[in-house]
Amino acid sequence: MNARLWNPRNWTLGLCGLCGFTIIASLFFGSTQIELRESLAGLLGQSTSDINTIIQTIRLPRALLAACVGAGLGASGAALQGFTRNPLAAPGLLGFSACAALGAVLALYFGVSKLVTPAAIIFAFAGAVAMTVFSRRKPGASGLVLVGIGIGALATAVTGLMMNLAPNPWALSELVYWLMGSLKNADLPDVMFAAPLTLLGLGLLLLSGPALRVLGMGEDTAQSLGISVSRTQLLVVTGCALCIGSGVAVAGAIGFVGLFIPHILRFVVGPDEAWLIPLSALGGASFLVLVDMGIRITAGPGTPLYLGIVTSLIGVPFFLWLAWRQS
Amino acid sequence: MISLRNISVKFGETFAVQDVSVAAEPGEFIALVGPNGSGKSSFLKSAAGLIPHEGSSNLASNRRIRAKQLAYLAQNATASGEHKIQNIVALGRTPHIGSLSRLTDVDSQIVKAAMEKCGVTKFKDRVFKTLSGGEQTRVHLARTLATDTALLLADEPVTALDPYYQLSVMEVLREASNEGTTVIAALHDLSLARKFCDRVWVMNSGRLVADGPPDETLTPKVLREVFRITPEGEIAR
Repeated sequence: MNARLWNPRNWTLGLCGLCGFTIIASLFFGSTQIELRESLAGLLGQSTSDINTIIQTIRLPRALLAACVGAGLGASGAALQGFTRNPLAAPGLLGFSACAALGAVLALYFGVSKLVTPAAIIFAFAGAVAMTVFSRRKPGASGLVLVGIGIGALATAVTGLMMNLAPNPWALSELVYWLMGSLKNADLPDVMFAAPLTLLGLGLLLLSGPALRVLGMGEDTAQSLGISVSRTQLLVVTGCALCIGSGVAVAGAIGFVGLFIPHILRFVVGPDEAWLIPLSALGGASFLVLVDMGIRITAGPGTPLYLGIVTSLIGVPFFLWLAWRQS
Repeated sequence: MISLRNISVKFGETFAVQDVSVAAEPGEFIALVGPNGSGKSSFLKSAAGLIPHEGSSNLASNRRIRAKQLAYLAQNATASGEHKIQNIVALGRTPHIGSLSRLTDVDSQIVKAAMEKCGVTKFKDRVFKTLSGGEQTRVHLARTLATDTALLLADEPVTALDPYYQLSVMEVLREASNEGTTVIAALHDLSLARKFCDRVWVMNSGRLVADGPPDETLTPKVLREVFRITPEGEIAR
C-alpha cells in the first residue's frame, strides 16, 4: 500500500465518498424495485406519488437515520477506546447504551410510547452524570471503566426487571423487539431529532481528539503537558451520551458497531486517536446504512431482521478474527 | 529557577512528603535520592502539580502555563505502542501549540534537535512498541526536551536500564543542565548521582534530610542512617 496516498486525510475523503454512496444507493435498493432515475426523481418529488412516498418517507429517513446512528456509535467507540486506552471499551460495555435502553424500556413499560425518545436521551445523560460523579475522586481511564461497567450492569438489571414484570406476553415482546434495535419505524421527524444531537455529540468527541492523542502516554504525562484529564473525560462522556442517547432513542440498542469499527480503522489507517474519531464516524455510518439496506432488500413476508441482531452477527466473528490475528 | 516552600503530600492520614522546602538555580543538575518509599516520586509529582499538595511554589498554578515551565518524565513512561517515534516526540510541543493547531517549522526544528540529542533520530519512523526499554526511555527524554522548558523533572529515568543506557541518559540530562535547564532527577544509583550531579537532595520518610554537593550529603553517616548501607556497599548492621 502506498503510504503517501493512504494518509488519514485521504481515508477521510474516501470514507466520506463511501458514506455518501451508500446513502444514495440505499435510495434505490429495497423490497420494491425502483429505477435509479425514478428514485432520484422521487427524491425531488418529481415521480409518481407512490415512488415519491417510498423514497421520501421510507428510504431517505431510514438511510439518514442509519448514518446518524452509525456515526455516533463509531465515534463514541473510538473516543472511549482512546480515553480508556482499553481496546474493549465501547458504548455498549461502558453503560451508555444500557442506560439509554433502560429509559426507553421504562417508557414502553408504562405504556407511554411517545416518551420513548426523550426518556432514552434523559437516561443516557443520567448515566453520564452518574459516571462523572462516581469517578470524580479519580477521573481517568480506570475510574471511568469501573464506574461505567457498574452503571451499565445496573441499567441492564433494571431493564431485566421491567421485562420480568411485564404484565403480558405482548408487552414483553414489545420490549424485546425494541431492544433488538431497528430502523423500520424511521421517519423524517426522527431524523430531525437525532441528527442535531448526534452532530453536537460528534463535535464534542472531535474536540477531545487531540487530548486523547496525548493521553496515550498516560495520565501523569498528559497532565504535565497541560491536558486536563477531567475536562477530557467530560467531553468524551457528554459526547457519547448525546450520540448514544439519540441513537438508542430512534433505533433501539445496536451492538458491536462502536467496538469493531474503530478497531478495523485503527488496523488499516493507524493509531492516531484524533483521526480515528471522524474516521470511525464515517465508517460506522457507511456500515450501518449498508446493513440496513441489506435488511430492506431481504425483507420478506415474515418478521424482518432486526438491525441490532445483524450488526452483532456480523461484528462478533469479525472481532474474533481480529483478536485471533493479533495474538 | 524553582523554589518550593513547605511542600506536604498526604495520602489519607500518612504524610508521603512532609514540609519540604527547596530551591534550585538555572543549570543545576540535582539528584533526588532516598530509599524506596521515602517520598521522591510524590515530591516530584507535587512539584509538577500532578497531585494535590500543601505548600507554595513559584511555578504557575495554571495547568497550561505550568506545562511551558516544566517538563516531567514519568517513571516507566509509556505510549500507545503503534505510534511512530517522531510523533511521540512531537507531542512534547503540545503546551506550545494549542490542541487544535499544527506544528510550525520552528516546532519541527526543536523536535528534530531533541531527537538528535537523545540519539533517537534513527528510530524516528519506527513504532514505540518495537523499541527496547532503554530506547523507549530515550524517546520520552527526547519528548521532554522537545517541550523546551527551564525545568525538567525526571522520576527514576535510569532505574530499569542497562549500564550503557544509564550513562547515556545521564549524559543527556547533564548536557541539558549545562545548557541552562534545571534538572531534578530521582535516582537510586548513588554513584551516578556522585558522577553527574551538582547537588543531592536526600529524602527519608517524606522529609528532606540533606541538601548539598554529593561529597557533603552522601556521607557515611547518611548512608548508614538513611540507606542502611556502609560506604563499602555492605548492609549496615
